[in-house]
Amino acid sequence: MALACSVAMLGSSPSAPDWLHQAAAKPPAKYAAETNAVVLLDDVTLTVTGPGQADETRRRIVRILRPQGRDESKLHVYVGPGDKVQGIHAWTIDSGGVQYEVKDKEFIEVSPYQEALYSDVRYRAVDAPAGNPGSVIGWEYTIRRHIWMDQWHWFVQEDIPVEETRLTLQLPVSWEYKASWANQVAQQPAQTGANRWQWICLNLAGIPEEHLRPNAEALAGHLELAFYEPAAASNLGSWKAIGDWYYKLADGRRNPSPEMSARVQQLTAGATTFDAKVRALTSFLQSDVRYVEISIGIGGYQPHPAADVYRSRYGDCKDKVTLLSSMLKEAGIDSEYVLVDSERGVVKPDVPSTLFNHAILAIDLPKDVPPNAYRSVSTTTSGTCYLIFDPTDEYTPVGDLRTALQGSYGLLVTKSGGELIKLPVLSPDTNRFDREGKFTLQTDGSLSGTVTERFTGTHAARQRAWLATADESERAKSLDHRLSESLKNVSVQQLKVQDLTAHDKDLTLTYQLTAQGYAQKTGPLVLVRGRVLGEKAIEINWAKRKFPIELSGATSEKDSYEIQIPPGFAVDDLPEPKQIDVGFASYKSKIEATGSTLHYTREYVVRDPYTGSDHFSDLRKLEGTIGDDEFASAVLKKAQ
Amino acid sequence: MKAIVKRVARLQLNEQGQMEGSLAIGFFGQEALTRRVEASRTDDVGRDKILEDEVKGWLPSNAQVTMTKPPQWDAVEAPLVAEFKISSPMLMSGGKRVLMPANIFQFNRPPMFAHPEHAHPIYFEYPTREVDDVHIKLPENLQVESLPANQDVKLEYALYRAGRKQDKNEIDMTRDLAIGAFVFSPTEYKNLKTFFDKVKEGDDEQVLLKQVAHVAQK
Repeated sequence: MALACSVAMLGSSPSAPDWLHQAAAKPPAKYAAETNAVVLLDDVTLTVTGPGQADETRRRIVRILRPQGRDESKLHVYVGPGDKVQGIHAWTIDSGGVQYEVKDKEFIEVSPYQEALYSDVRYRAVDAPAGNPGSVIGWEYTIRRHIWMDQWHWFVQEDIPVEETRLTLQLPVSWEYKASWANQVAQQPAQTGANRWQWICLNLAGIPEEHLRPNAEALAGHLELAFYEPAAASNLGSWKAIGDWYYKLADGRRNPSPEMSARVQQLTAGATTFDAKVRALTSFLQSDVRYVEISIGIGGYQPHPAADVYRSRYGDCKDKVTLLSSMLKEAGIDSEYVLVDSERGVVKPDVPSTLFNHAILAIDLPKDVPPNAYRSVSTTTSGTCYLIFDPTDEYTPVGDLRTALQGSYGLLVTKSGGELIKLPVLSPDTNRFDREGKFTLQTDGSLSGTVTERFTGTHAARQRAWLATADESERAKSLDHRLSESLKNVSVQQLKVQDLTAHDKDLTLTYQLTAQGYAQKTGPLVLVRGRVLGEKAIEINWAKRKFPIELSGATSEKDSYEIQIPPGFAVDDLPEPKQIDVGFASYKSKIEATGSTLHYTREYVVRDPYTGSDHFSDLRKLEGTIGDDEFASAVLKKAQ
Repeated sequence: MKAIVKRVARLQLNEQGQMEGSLAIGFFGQEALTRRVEASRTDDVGRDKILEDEVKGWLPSNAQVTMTKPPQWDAVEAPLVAEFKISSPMLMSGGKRVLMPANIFQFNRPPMFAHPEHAHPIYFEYPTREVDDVHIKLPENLQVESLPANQDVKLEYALYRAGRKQDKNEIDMTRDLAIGAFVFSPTEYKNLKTFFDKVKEGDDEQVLLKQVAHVAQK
């Protein structure tokens, strides 16, 4: 260990540059005790040398404040296809003033992606030595970038505070730029030379983890810069221009092969309606074309030709969209690419940007098909209605849209350019999880009975995703595990799954269970919890709220349980009904007794999964009510 | 080497169902060592948070936990002893009555073993013991209607005892869980699961309280 640590010192006498010495010598500013580290300076100079070419020089200095800030010594930089690292160096000055150096050759090359089968994107990475509290770490690099799109994302906020961040833009003579700010008051640049501008942001707060907060990219202040020659037809500074760029990139990729045309004829034989044709083709894409990403060069953005995807039967999201669009066209149905980010809130309507990580499809709804024939429909400003579909999602049928994409913005790419559209927010009734149980309570406190669970929407898609990959034993074990969160010593028998592969039908699970020790004897009385299964209360153990609250999606969930109480016992006391409606969500439950049967019902609805931090007290009340209800018990006593 | 967690709580339940008071915790032997090792990777703020988060994990989700006396992290030979102020909702609805967990630190914890079968040997990290001593004073509007029975479960290598008694308006609850071995063959799984199922059954028991009208004392 000691040897390893001293390598960087012994290789040659390390000498950190003056700019790092000066930063380290500055007295540290005061930060909250929980602040792990602080960025003292992040200084980027982007010198655009021509279309698709720029040199990026970056200098970054971080002071580690706490042991939890040690991750800041793990340095990495994105090196995309066509990029060339000109030089890269790092230094550490520790709290005792000892200097360490990491040279170019000591940086290793790693792949940042795990999902892709192959990608030529790399990180150059290193763990800087002495990454301990009090250390100041500086690094700088110059990379000749191949800019596939003449646009630059500059994120000024991070998870830790930033004292100063600078971006200098040097453009060729007569070039122009367009700047758009997100989550940040627009900063005006200073002109620091001929066709040279500099933006500076000071003292920016960090974006720490907070349970149920939106993705950090949706919250962080950033600048989207598009730069272009004045004569350029497409400047990427508007949604239309970005749409133009992508349309041209994908142009010709949807041309069909004769084999594809024949397969479309075969798949749609006998299908006379729009709906029948669309279901046949979308189903084929979901079941017969595997998701496999191979990304080389521009392939990160440009789809493979539809004919290639069809022949190999695999592709990534944009490949699957391309093939489906092509096959739909063969069936006489138009469709367009929609570029989205899978994290809600990252794409902002007033900030034209290429911050997309996923492609889905907008299928043109014919005039004779009413828009309300499907749930997942978006309408453009000109009134054109599109059926939104994600062929990468194997378990969500056409007409539906998984909750993670609902309410996001997507760029509709058409021949006449791009238009930002809002993806629909489906009603809670489209994403249901209903459960019914009929149980018998024995005098020894054990509970046995039959349960039926019905899933629709994203609930069904999630269940299908794991059921499809599990054998019978794994399914039973997983269900055992899920139920053991609600019941003690539970065993499950006769699990049956209905309509696993019929994605446009409700998914139904039925099973029998036996749980020991369900009822609790306390003196002469017996306690019986009405809510037999399912925990919906979210743990809230934070006192204040900074960021908006993001729940998993609009949902409607109902539980209905009947419990036959043992002979010789009578109901002595029942909990009060619960009811709360906080606008974005509601919950109500009641437990009643009819003769020797307890009836418990509850309904939980989330209408708007994305709500502001000012509704934190409402969320707390809601979750408190749910938590109370989930442990409420009926009281039984021996019948007279 | 011994490994003991001891908790002593003196709490007052208010009329709104909020439990407030003090909690002292002692970690002995291996239990102290593992926490000191974790604490060695962070600073004073992080160390306190380790224990505050651990206490929060034992209590209902809306619990507030503040450390009032930090432990001597660097006295490596000594037990790790800390004190906290805690405030937590603790009552559940039972109609006219209300329910209170008989084991406030273990209520509704997931079961140790969920599945009826186990193919491989079972390893715990080391033999352990947990000892709880909880005293709860009730508000004037609540009286004990029924206390769960005491529990006493034994195996050759394990012990679980839970005691509950009432003294006027105070409930005293004790719990002692000791596991004296840490490697078990699959053939022992059934006995082990039965033991831990009984532990969970005892830990999830509740005290039944009834609401009574009270006249303010002059």
